Amino acid sequence: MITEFITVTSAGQALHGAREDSAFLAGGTEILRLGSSVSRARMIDLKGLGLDTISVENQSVTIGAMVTFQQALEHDAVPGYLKEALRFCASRTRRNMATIGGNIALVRDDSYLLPTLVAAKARLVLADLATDGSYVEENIPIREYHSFRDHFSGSLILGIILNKPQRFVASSRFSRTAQSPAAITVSFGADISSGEPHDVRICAAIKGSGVVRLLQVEQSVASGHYRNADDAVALAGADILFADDSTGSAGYKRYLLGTAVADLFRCCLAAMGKGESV
Amino acid sequence: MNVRCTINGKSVSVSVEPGDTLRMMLVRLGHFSVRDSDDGEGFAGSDTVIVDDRPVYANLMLALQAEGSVIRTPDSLAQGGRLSVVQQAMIDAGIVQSAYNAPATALLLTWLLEHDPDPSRETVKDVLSGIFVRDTGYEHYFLAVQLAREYRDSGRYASEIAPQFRDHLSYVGKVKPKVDGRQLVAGWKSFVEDRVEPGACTMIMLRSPHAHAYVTKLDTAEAEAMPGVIAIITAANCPDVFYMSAGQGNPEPSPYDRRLFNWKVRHVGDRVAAIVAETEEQAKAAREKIKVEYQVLKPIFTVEEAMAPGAPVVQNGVAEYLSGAPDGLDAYNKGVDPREGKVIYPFPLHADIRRNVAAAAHGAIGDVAQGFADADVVIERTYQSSQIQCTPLEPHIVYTKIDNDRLVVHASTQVPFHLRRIVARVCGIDENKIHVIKEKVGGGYGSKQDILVEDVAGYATWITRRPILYRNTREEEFIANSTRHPMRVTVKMGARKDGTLTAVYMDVRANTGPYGNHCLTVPMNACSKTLPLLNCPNMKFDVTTYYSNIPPTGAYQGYGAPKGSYALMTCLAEMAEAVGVDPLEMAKKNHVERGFMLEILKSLGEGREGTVVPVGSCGLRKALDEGARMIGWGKKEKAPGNDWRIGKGFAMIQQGSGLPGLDHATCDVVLNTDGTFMVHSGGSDIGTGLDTISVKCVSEVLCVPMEKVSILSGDTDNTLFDTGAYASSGTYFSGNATLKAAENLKEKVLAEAALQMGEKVEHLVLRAPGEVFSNKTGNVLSYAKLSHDALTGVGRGQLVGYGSFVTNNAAIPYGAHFAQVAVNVRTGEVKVQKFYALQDAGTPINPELALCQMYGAALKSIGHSLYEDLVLDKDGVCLTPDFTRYGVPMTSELPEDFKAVLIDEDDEYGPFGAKSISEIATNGAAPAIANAIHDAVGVWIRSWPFTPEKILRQMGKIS
Repeated sequence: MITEFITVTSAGQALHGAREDSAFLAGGTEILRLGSSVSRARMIDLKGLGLDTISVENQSVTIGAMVTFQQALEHDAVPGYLKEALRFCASRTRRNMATIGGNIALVRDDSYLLPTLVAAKARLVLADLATDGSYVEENIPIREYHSFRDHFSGSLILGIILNKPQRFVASSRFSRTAQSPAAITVSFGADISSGEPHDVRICAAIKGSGVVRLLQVEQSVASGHYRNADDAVALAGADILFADDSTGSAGYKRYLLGTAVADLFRCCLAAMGKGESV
Repeated sequence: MNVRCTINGKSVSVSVEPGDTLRMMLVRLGHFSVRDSDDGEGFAGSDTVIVDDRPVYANLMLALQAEGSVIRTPDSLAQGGRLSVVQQAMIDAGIVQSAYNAPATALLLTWLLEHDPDPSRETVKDVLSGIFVRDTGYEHYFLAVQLAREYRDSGRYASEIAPQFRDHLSYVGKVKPKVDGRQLVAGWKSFVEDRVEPGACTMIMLRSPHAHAYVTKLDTAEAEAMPGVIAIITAANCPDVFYMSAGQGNPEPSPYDRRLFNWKVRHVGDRVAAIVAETEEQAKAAREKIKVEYQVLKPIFTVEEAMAPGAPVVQNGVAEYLSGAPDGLDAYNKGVDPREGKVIYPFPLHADIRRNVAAAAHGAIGDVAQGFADADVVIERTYQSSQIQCTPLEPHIVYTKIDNDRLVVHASTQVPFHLRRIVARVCGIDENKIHVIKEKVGGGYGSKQDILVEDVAGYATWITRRPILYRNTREEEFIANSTRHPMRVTVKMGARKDGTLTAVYMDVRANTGPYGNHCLTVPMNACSKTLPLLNCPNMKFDVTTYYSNIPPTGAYQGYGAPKGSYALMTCLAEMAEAVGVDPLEMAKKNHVERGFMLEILKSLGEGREGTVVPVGSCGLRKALDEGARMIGWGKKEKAPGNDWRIGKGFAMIQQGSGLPGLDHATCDVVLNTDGTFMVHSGGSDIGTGLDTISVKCVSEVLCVPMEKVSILSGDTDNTLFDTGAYASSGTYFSGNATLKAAENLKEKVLAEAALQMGEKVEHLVLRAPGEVFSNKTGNVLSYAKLSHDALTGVGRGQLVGYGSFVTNNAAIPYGAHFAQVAVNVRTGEVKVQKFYALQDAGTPINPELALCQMYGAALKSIGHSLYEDLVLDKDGVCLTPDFTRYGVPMTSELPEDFKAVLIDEDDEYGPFGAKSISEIATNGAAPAIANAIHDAVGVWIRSWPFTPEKILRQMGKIS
């Protein structure tokens, strides 16, 4: 039950206001929804922080954490691959409320954005309090945020940075209806500037298993180990524990992951002029 | 804390609590059209408002977040009594039906047109993606936007809204605004929740966490002593009355196996206690203090488990019969545990509760064994359907109070008169002590044919004398409401090589869950609304219904027909493949036509012998031919990519129009003193336009504009008896009763006019705009003068027409649904590219509403076929208790090309030739899509929903 509502005008104020029973309130589509995984008494409203802008600087696009999905979709500077992921949230009304920062912070196992942002090698701008209580900001790769989630649990996401030139990034989401929870959301990213895929990132949100990187497949793709896209099927998910649930059986999810990774890899090859697009 | 904001142009400062949502604040301020369908899930969109020029869900915003914001609510659109262009266009397009979120949709579409004056279809679809529409299937929402644009730009509509029928009639078959459209789209007070008065108490329910258990200890003392608590009702203090929840003809073909509260719980979510308190918070606090201990029993969830020897028995109480008790009943009841309660059968239904059999039925025509012997090919296939939820946007809700020492029930119900009877039984009072007022129903689809909340709320008010509001949460809708029975249907079919059927056998095994409401009739419909499509001389069926511990089942639009249709029509297609005949040719070879005697109906009555009638008006062949032409039957389509395959399928469908021999409707029409008319119809308009049908009937017969006719319906004090809105009875039964009342009044008007005018009746006619005209003298008498003079001190009294309708004649609607799907062979995904619903509804009295109902029912059944599933875990806990996880179709799931087509047939028995329209439209999608999937990738999917996983499994892609 929410008993306290705090408005703040700076990130420092927000961090200083945080307690064990508090949560940063962004769009509200997760924290305030029926059955939310977050139940806190003290809400710290981030509306007054001015984090709702998108800016383009030199070789990068910075998207404020409070930018809504719909706002990002309507902005010319937001790359197409991210717009593809933003559309995974199929309700326009919800897109009007859900924020980029909120979706990242939740790390849901059916996350709309996290796999794509990991594949895109996005960076996060975080605000935190040092041990002496002083305010600090840091700029970290999103994979670090993902890998060391507990370490950043008290951090406040200020925005994401997407570097140009754009990588090849593509994503797939598999759910029964457009608005049902996804069994699998998977994204494939690679630098294709050299004519070969390198700096590969493959990340999947798997219902019941969490958000995982497919490190072995990444290495195999980057090292040129695979002769064709379908070679990726066998290894994708080999080290993941899949769960049966209402989105599908473990076997189905494993199959889908392999198939989707192979298809995205094929798209990547097609983007380099090496094969047919799917 | 205070919020300062602007609401609909007015600055306000409002005191709120930190946890208050924006919706709570707005409703407190009187903006009650900001409704709630999902308890804050952020899905259904009934709570949509515009905040700072963007549509948001008011349930997902704290009121305090709105500080400084500019807010628009749906009630801002209509100025005084004048609707906006968008609101009027929505009525005219036919999409304002059950309308629980129509005001929110009007707001959303208004916002859209303000920002994009000429939006594309894709943009409209995107903007509507946050609105759940169950009744009208979205398609005419695009039309509404188009109409609004046209009216805005030119002051008139250019697009055709719907085809119109019967040139000789003025109102029937014509596009006319639904009579309650204005109040519904504007968001004026309409629904049960709008009738709640200040000071009303709240009732909530404590429900069982176990699927099958005895309640061994129940201690409410601490809870009862808590502040604000008025009453706690449990098995210990509720009436020892057994009844059943189904609002069906009396005596019902279902067992009385419910008590308000039982010492045995039979599903997760079963009632344990009702808590009545002055506030919801107090009720919830008291609920926490009720101490319950359970002796957990082994549950059963499937027909197979229920059938197994030695299976746990779900209803193991004393069996009683009100008539026709079988021999040996004393021995049957020996040693029964009193905690099991009773199962009372009004008449025998071939039950055996000790083996979990709630009801059974059997029947046959011809010689089935000989039929199979005569066949060149015999196949036998089993089809499984899963549990499906009705998901009305307005959950089950009731407001009860005492007035004039009588119990008043404001209900969202399809069956006000059955409701009165059942509540009277529960409370132990006579029907004259109860007044049921059917309010506007924000979606019923069969689930509000069951008395699921009015029984306990009515009883609570009767004993406490306090006004009480009870409303199901969305989760309770999923776990404690009525749902579609899961069924296992085995079809055995024999045919000659040329495709002629020689024998058909259907074995229906249905799962009724914990209680037996509708337990005979729903499964029987799997046969009675499918087998009569076939002209096969040898047909047989066996129906058996089993108790289990799944959430309760009951009536759902289509009743048992969608499941029977899925099985029978898919098997017919499988047989076509087996004998090498085109499925369409096979269908044409075996379907009935006008005049064919439906002998099979004799054994398909609802617990009694049915009436054999011939096929009357029948547009089945026309629907097949036209559908085949539209979809390009036989033509191979180009796939959208390497991994996709295209397939086409279809299904023949039928339903009924009410229950001849069982249903009854009555109506009166009163001539008011100024020459206008008042209709009192017992019928229950649940948003489908039945009131509009009644008004059109009166306008047509008495030659007056529709605005001169008003209607009151579904009010047990003020209207005459009607069995209610179920079994597709509204148009046929209630409509015919109104027609008869109007014709009766016409006779009386002519007779009175003859006296007043000094002329003979045979020289008089009624004519527009509401007067009596003499063909002989040219004299005219207005209805106003006629009525006035009839009511003077020397008059003969008020003119009232009376109509009572019963019949043994069937007005069977027919149709065919066609689907074209694309199936991805790597992922198993299915896209419905085309869906064409072609139906013979006789004369569609409200053609625009009819089309929308066809779209709604077809999309609903596409949802059942492909997406929706009520999933339980091993302990019977529902894993999909909200819209998102359950998976209802939204705009994203619309077929790319979606068409509803009315096949013109004039029926001899329906009012002005009308037949039913809506239920039948739920019967086609499953078999049409299953057949299309087979056409695409060569596998038969024999259980719904047809998930990608099942398709991949059938294709051997996963094990």
